Amino acid sequence: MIEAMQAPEQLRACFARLRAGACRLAALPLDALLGRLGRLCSVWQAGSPARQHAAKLIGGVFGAYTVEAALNALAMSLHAPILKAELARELGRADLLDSWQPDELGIGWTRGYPLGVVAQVLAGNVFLGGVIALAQALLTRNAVVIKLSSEDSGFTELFAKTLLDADDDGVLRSSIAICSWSSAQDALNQVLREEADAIVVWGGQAAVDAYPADRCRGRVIHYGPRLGIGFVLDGADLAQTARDLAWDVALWEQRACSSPRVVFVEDVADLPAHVASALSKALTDVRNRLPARPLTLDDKAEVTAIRELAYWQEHATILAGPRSMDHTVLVVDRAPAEIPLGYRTVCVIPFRGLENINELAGAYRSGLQTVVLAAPSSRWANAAELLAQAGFTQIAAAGSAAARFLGLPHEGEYALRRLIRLVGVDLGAGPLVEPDRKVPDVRLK
Amino acid sequence: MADPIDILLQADVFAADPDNRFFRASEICLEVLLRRFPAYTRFLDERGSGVPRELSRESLQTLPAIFLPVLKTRAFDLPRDVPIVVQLTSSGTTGKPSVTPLDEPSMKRRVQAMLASYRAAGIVSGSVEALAFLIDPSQTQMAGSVVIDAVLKASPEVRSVRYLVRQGPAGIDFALKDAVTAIQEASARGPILLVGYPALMAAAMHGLATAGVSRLPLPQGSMVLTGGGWKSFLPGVPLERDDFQKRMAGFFGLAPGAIRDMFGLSECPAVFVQCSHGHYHVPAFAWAQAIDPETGCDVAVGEIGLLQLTVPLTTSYPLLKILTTDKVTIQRGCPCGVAAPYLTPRGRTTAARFETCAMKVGRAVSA
Repeated sequence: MIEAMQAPEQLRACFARLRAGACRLAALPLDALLGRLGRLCSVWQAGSPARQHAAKLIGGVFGAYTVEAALNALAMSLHAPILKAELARELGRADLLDSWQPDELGIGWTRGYPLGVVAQVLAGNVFLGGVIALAQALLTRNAVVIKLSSEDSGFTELFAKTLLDADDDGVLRSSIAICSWSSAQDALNQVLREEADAIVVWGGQAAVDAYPADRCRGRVIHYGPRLGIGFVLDGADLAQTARDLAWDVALWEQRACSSPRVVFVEDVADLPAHVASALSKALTDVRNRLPARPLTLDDKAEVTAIRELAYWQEHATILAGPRSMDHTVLVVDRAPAEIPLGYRTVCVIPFRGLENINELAGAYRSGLQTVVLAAPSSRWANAAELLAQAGFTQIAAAGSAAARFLGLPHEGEYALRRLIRLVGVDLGAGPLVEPDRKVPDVRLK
Repeated sequence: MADPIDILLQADVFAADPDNRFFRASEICLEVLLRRFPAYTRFLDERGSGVPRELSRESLQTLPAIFLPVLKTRAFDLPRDVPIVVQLTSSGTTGKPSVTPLDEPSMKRRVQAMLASYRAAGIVSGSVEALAFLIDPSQTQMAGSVVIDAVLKASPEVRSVRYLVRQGPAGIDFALKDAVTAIQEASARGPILLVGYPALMAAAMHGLATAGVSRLPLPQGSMVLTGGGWKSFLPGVPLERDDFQKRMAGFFGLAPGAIRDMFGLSECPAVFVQCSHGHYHVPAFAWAQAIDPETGCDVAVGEIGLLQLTVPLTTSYPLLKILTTDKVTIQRGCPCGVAAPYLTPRGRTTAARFETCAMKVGRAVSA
């Protein structure tokens, strides 16, 4: 099923095929689409062959709990009523792409249309990325070229296969291409830049840089790279906060941009030291449910580098399990120049005064997205306001970062809205229209 | 009373150590370092090791090591009363070079140590002309050039040393034609020692072949001694050690035992020279361990660990115990008859590459 692209002509031919398929997909009624997706619910139920196969594919990087929980969430989210509700939230109405809707006077009509063929350039970090990319494209009735990450586990292909098995008349088959090529093959990247009606790029800076808006024919949407940040305010339940933060750190092994790597703690009565200590303990405890993957010698050298450089360069206090590299909590006075990535490593930094959030976050402005907040209920509203003003686009309660992937804004916008174009029909009214004209008697469907 | 560190160097390179000379020398070295480097003392205190009064294998095992990449970005303040005579640098092929300041005794010991290792391997056992595929030491502080130069000049058997690489304003300048001519001329006069970067030697061999010389047997007593740069000295010139040695032996008509490689680090005064069976034996003035950095303990014999080196010869910088990013195995029982353990380099560790949406802030931490 994976098309290994060798030459630009091959990819151009794929686009040509998808353009034909895109027309059929655009004409597919919402219920017919949701019906196909809904059939996957049972395919992806716990214990199903697909689940067992997926667990084998993904188990090397993520723990069994994470895999099971993520696949449960996947199976749940394929139910038609849930998808309809999410569509309604993101697009304003679930049938936006299916019917014209008149305004209250009946002289203005709007409807959404797909963009055509959307390219999704995947990152390799979270295995559901490919599913989300497929879902985004199909729910907006766009044909889709998926460019797999070199680290892809095989899960995207497995999911796509089950999807096509549920595609009785071949509409989806003609609209989906799962492709792979090395990002170093720029001639193939160039085809994407020239042919795609939109390119959605997930991942690190190199991936983003490969598809700049001024070199792409279609719309360009960049998701990443981002820095996961946490804030702990005085008054939050310490033990619960530590457990929640440890969960957010460990669930996706910090391979998701929402996983906190820097946690600012309000500098009140040794709170930063208490949080760091409790977090280190919680990161030890969380291994019972989310075991850390075994580290290679190279990994261990990297963890050593993280710890030793933090000690010598940042005068960090290092908290970790004895003779263990399962996690590292670094307590530093200020945001370090280099923020470690991975290995359940968290920098705890004291801060004073919520009004300084802007300044604290300013250093990472281009990377702001998810902030994990642990605060007493009475301080949430004020904190949320200040965090929003500082530039964060997702404020997650500690313990729930990256727990949801549809129905909330992503990167400051509803993702599905960016993959459609709205068309308005104006039948004319008001002082500026030709005075003697007759309003056409038109009813759009 | 003789300095225990110097006593250590006077012994045979691979001798057993029934009198615990190594640990006495380590105690003295540590004592000097603690006096000279408060930051090092703080480091030991904060890591909970404290400072043992007597060093044994066990207490030295728990003494925290300085992780080498740290030295690329963090310099220890030098005490004013320690006159530094040379600041050795690493090649910097894996990033920013580190700097190793040496006072006269430390430099002297380093030269002694390397010379002893050379002699034990039979490297300078007869009269030779040396052709060094190294940067001229008058133009660089790179340890490979500076220390080898001092060793060669301290060896009466070495009649002359000629450097074939210059440090030009635009970088390294290796005059291939000159090197080819130099090999031909020197070999006509008698045995020669080719020493330095294997990639450059391979280039010279290729240059000779291109000039129509399909084989150039060197006079009896000639040797080849390579060091460093197997993978990264010249971009696009990958070299595989065994293959290189076979080709050199064939081209220059040398017995396999006349072609040796040495493994060393600019921060470490011990150099590990291949024996006639190709093994890098650990001299008695060094303790080489392959460790699991997670536990700090030795890995099982023959398993790959990170190379940790304890060498009590440098008193001008806290390099008594260092943890490197080199992967090695450590074994015993070499058929060459040397009882000392030997290490086998297994490459450097590489930083994990996460292709994720998580933003990288700052540079990659691995050196």
